[in-house]
Amino acid sequence: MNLLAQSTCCVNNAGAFGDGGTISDRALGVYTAVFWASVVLGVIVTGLLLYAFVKFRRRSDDDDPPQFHGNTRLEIAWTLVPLATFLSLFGLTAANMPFINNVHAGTQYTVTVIGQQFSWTFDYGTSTSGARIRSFTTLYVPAGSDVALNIVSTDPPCNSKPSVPSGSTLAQAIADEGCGVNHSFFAASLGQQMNAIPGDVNTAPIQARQGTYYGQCTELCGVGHATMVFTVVALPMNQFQSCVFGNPSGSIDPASKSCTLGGS
Amino acid sequence: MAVMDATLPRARFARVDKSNGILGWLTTVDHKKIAIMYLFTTFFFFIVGGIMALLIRIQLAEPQNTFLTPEQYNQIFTMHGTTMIFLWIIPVWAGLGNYMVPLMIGARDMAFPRVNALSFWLIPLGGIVMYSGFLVPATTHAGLLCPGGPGDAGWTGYVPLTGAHYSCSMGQDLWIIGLHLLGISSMLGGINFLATIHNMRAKGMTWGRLPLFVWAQEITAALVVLASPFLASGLAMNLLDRQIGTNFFDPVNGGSALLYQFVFWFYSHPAVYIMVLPAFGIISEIIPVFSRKPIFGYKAMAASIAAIAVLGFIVFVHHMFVTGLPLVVQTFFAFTTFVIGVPTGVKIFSWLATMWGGSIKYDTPMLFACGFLLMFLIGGIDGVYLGSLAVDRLVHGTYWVVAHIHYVLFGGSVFGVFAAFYYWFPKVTGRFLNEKLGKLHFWLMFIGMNLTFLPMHALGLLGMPRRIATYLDNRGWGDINSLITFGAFVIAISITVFMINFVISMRAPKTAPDDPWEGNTLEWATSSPPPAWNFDEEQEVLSLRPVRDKRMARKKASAGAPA
Repeated sequence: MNLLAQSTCCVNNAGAFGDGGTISDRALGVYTAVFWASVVLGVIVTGLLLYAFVKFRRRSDDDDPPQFHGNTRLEIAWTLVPLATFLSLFGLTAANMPFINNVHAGTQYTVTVIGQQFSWTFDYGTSTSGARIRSFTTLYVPAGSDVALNIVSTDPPCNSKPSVPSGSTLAQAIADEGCGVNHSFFAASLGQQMNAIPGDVNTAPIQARQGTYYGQCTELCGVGHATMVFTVVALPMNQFQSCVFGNPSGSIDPASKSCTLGGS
Repeated sequence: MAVMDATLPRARFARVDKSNGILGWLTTVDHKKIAIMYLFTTFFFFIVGGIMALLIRIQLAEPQNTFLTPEQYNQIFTMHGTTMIFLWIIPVWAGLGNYMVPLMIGARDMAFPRVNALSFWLIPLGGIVMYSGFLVPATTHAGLLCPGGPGDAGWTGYVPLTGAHYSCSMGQDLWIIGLHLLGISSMLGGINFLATIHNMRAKGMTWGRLPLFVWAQEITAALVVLASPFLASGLAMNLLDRQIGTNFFDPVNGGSALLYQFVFWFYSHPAVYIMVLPAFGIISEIIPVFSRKPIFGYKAMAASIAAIAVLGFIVFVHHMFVTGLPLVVQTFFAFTTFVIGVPTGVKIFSWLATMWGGSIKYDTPMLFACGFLLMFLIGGIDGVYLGSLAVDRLVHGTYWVVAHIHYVLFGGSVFGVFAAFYYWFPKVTGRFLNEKLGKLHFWLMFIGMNLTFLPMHALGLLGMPRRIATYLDNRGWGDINSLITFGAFVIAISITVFMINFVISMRAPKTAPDDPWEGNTLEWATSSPPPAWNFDEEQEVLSLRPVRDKRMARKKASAGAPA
């Protein structure tokens, strides 16, 4: 299955094997360990089962097999061997999680990810003229750099006061307002998934190699759930700077050369 | 009792139903008749849930399909999940337990026969209330259109999506109330099983001689009684939020949307074990019988069921790994999730060791038991991926989860249910299910199951989210989805074969003896079907395998007698 997925993944960069960045490298490293452990355990146990199915089938109606009830040593062994396997997988997981879960030290850029029924808005802060810089459906990140995401949810039905009180961050304002339903930011190729929950601000690090990656909402949010797709575009740093912060009015033009990978 | 004449047949003391026919069924408090009603009702809902599964699969067979609207899709997958869990798997085990637990412990009936009838009648009532959501029409409130229809926010019913702001249909209230009724049924049933198993065991049936199916029912009942109130409280709070404007889950007014998930999963993780422990129990009965060996490590088997039940209460946060909880909390629950794999492994190895050196006969019940072992193993292994926090980020909320839950609940629980159907059919009806059709049913279901759910792992790794009504064609998910849809129809054919088998077998003459499989436990000590009073004489138990003891003694006696 590993191979199957790898052979088809890179057509679209939607899946776990999209080779997106250092975070997905870590997640895939743990995946690979779990994969081989499960293949070894699975093949041994399935093999023993199939062997027993065939070998010990009834040959005569008079069969009277020996009646043994247990074997303490054997039972201790098959308690301890899986325990040791699981504990080492747990150790590997725990060792990698701070990198996958926590915002990395020295992160320069923070983007607020806003889930709405039924679209994604990405907020990069304020422009030189004080306007909010936002993109819709496409998240622009600098390739190879750490970015912190503040993931929140807000929705129109109770979103009657969209103004941001002075002195608070946008994320805080949205969290205070607390409208919306649950969504989930999922970019499989970047190894990151985090819920947007009304009233909460969830943080997650993200890091992408230069390229385009597909993402989608993974938490049921209503009739338009399937349409909540997004794209992550990882641009070279200078291109990212001019795409996102180049316009004093704060607007981002997805069609502009600076916002397009490989556009010439 | 002591003053009664010991020579009177126990039939004298039987409660005889006032009338037979329809009225007899409607008013019965006999655990066997109640169980039969349980089985027919839950199987009906299994078929309904299965038809909804086929509709889901037709919709997803190709990208950007328009067979169902997104509204219909959300309603149908919500009702599919809710039906399969709350109207099929949980109550079908209650039904099988209802019939068999009193027989297996040598009792006359359940401890509270009238409560037992109430438990059953709440099932169709809850189902009707929940399904009546389909009749709720669209309305207009203050110029805003409110679509009608049943609950459509998934079987998990997360807020705020099920809150008044986002689910205005009365169908969502009916979903909540229906589920509430089913929860009450479950709790009453659980209390009844506990009272029965604790107080009504036959002479000599110590805890160390209790059949493992009864152990499983005992611990399942304890889980039901301890966990279900949390579901009930979550549903009640949501209903109050919706109807009278409380703010338990409303973050705008100081409530917490995430709180619902804690309350819900504190029930719903143990609920997975409520669904699968009875399957562990029946597999632990069938494998020894068809291998002609005692269960390997009886004490470890009973202890591991209990260990799974206890640990089952402290793994629930793994359903919430991507809700932004502190890393230390995530890590603790990842640890417990890995640890719960150990008692599960002990069970699989013990079943393997039970067959080892045995003499295995492959009648249909045993085929389903073997299918259970292979499928449940996969369901256990792919759960390890989800338990690893790092891998979970890659596959949480995707089709990997759908694959996992179906390997556990279809490959585990439902294979267990069918193993039980084939195993106990002769006891309940006095007839055998046809073996050829049974084997056809097994192989179609086994192949169909793997065609359907194995490819879902690949879909998950390819990033396909669960619960989406359709998908873009540039994602590369189309071919796999077509294969899955084909597999779902193979499963549907296998279930059709089962129903044909049932009809044919019910028309066949009653040829089943009391003990057709060389059984171990007390239900095989009475006639097939058992009389209303269950046993003609009081049972006494001297070992884990009382019926085998008697059979061996008879064999010895006849071998010793001159020809």
